[in-house]
Amino acid sequence: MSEAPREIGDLRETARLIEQEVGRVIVGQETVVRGVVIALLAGGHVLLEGVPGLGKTMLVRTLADALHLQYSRIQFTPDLMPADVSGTNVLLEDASGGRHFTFQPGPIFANLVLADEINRATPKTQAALLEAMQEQTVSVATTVHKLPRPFFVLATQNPIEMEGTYPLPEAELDRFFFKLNVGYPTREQMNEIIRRTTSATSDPVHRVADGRTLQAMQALGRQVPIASHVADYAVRIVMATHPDGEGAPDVTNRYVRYGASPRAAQAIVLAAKILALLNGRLNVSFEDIRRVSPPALRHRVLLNFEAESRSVTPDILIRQVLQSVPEGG
Amino acid sequence: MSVAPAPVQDPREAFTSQLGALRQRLWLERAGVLVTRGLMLGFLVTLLVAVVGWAVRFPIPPLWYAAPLLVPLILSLLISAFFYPSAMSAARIVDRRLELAEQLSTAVEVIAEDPEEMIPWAQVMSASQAAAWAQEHWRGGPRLGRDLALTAIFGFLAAGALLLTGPEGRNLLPRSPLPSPLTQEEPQPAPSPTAVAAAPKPEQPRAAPPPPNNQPTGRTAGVQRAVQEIRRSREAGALDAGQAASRLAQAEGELSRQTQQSRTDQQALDRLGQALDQIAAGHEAAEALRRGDYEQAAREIAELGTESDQLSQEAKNQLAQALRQAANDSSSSPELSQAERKAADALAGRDYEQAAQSMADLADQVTTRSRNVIPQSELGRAWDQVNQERRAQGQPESAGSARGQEGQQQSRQQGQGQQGQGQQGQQGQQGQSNQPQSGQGIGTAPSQGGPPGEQQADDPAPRLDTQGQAVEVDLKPGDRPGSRPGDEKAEDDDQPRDETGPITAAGTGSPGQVNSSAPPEINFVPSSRRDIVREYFRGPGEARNP
Repeated sequence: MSEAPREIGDLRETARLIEQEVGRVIVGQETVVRGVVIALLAGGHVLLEGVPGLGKTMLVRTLADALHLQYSRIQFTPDLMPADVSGTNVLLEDASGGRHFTFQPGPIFANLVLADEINRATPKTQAALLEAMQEQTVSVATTVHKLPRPFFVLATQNPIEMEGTYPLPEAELDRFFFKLNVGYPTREQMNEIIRRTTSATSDPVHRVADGRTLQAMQALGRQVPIASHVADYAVRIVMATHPDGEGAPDVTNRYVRYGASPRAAQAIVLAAKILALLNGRLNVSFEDIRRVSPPALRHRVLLNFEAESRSVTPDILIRQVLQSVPEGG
Repeated sequence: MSVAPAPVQDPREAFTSQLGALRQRLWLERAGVLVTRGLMLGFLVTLLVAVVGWAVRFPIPPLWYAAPLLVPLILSLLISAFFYPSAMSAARIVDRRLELAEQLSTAVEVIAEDPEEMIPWAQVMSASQAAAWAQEHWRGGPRLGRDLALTAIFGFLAAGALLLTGPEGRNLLPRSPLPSPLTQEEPQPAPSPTAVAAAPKPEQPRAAPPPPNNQPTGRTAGVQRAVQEIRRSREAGALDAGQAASRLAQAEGELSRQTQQSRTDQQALDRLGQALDQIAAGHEAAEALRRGDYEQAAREIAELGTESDQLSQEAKNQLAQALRQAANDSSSSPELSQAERKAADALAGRDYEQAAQSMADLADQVTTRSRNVIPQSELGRAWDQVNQERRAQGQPESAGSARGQEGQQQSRQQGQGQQGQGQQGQQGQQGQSNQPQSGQGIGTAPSQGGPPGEQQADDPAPRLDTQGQAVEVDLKPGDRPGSRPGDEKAEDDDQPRDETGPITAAGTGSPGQVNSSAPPEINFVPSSRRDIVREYFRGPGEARNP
């Protein structure tokens, strides 16, 4: 048992180092970086949304540099085909003249996959990620290929209103652990960005963790206990996003077309465990649940037309849901 | 020297120990809240019981005051005993109150699940430290302070209510079943002297039939009701012997006070009547005072003031001198004495308006003083009730009552021509002293209602209420025979006569009246015929009142 505090200390130190290394390149965006780290330690995929030029891709690249992981990047375009992502069987001729099919892995076969501008691909290609993200396998023809562990998909996307974008299917959205909104930097942050990116020198990013470490940290995070009434709080929050669901506030009944799935509750609890560890606690609190709920729910709650017409965003709705659900249910 | 390593405490035991202390603390706090609320409720009910009991004059045994306080208290203690907080509820309360981020409640579940992983047990250890911290930084619940404050307020109010209206003998505002007669029967507002003078003289009211025993009336009705209530409560077992005796003593004291007040004011009014009788114009007022018809007397006095300009100065001086003498003798009724003195001064002067006003003020005082005068028969009934209750409680009869009986006997003896000796004799002579000039007037023995130790040697006897009852008409000794055969008394007086002694008005239960050394003639004269009788006994030289 005395090893537990040491392991927890190691986890916190590793997380701090990752955030520190990312911070060498990415200015500001602490919330986004913390969210990405939580998702990594929870073994989840992250969808980063923001207008172009805010450093989404840079963040993922820097993260890959800080982690000693196999990294690949898929630039999603409208003409990208599923096989371009997952790989395909190619007919090869050996030295004896014999021919046989050999699987040629696609860029998805990596520990850290950057799916850049994922919503610029067609839904068919986007769907190629479904199996990989959920099962961490790729099925080509009749063969199922396992993806390397750990496996992370960090996707970036532009807001849906932009030209040449396709909305992600709900099934794929649900497979993202977190959806993090990347906002504009502040004035000071932008000055710092300019200073760093226009000077002759740049701080190198050091590798602070590898895949094995990440997997150990993931296992450690899952051990964090959560009281039943705290877990029930997470469940009640998710239920409150269901129209006409138990404890659903009026705003849910009015603006929500589809509520969050059970994956949302899983994501909330798991993320809350990691957050508790990162905050030096060994159990999940109500506050942890509240803090991780918005990134875990905002892409899982589909609003109706009335909400869009009234400019009700998922974040606004989630905020009201959190206010309406009491801790002691 | 080697140092032994500190034993590693099992996190489960450490946490359970710390949480147990917290549970005990929470239980005590919860019990405190419950008991506090129980006390609050008890105080509230006590307050209500005290106020309602006092308001409806319901005799409340002391246990009834304790019950509202004790029952909620005991119930709250019982509830507290059965609601010892569970480990989870205690952990959740402490988590929430001390903002421990659900450490304790999580640890409780971890212990229950008994996992194999290390992190949960590290969490239990951490929660144990948090519980220890909670012990040191304990914060009471927000309800306790508020409830304590409310309880203190209600307790203060209940204590105040008990002090004011609580059990007899320990209260400041007696909820006694001894209501003051003045509060029981509000006196009618006194008519102004001018209104008195202007009002038509009503016909002398006939005596009302004596009230039934179970419905006491009159000024002593409150005392009589109180005695009846003591008897009922005692018979119902609501009062023990000590309480009944205490209450009866209180009733007796109140009756003594009323008796003394009645006697004092009646004496003062008698003296005023004697003064008014000094002049012929004052005879009507004097006669009304003797009869006990104080409203009539007030009207006559006010009228005497308005007609004072028709009196000779010699008559006014004579009346003024008599009023001064009455004022000097009526020091026990200072207001009446002052009114008499002012009237005397005004009559001695030559200011008609002042004389009329002073006499009107004197009439007002007569009305005011007369309200304290209680008929002798009523006092007798009240004292009878008190003595009956004393006997029922096994106490000796009231000394005051016994003395009153002796006084009555002495008065009778005096009426038979025997000069009383000692105190009783002096009391008997009071009837004489009340009629100093003409021997007229009605004196009564002090027996009916003489309170213990209150009978003074120079006190005149209280007046007998004779309205509509037997009337004795005095004779001037040696002037006329005591009776005339065949006159009107014959139709009223069917009782045997005793020519040598006082004749008691048979059938009335009133004591004999002795007013002079000569045997009086006693007739049973209806009030409507008294004037005829008076006219008959008036001497040839005496003119009718102007």
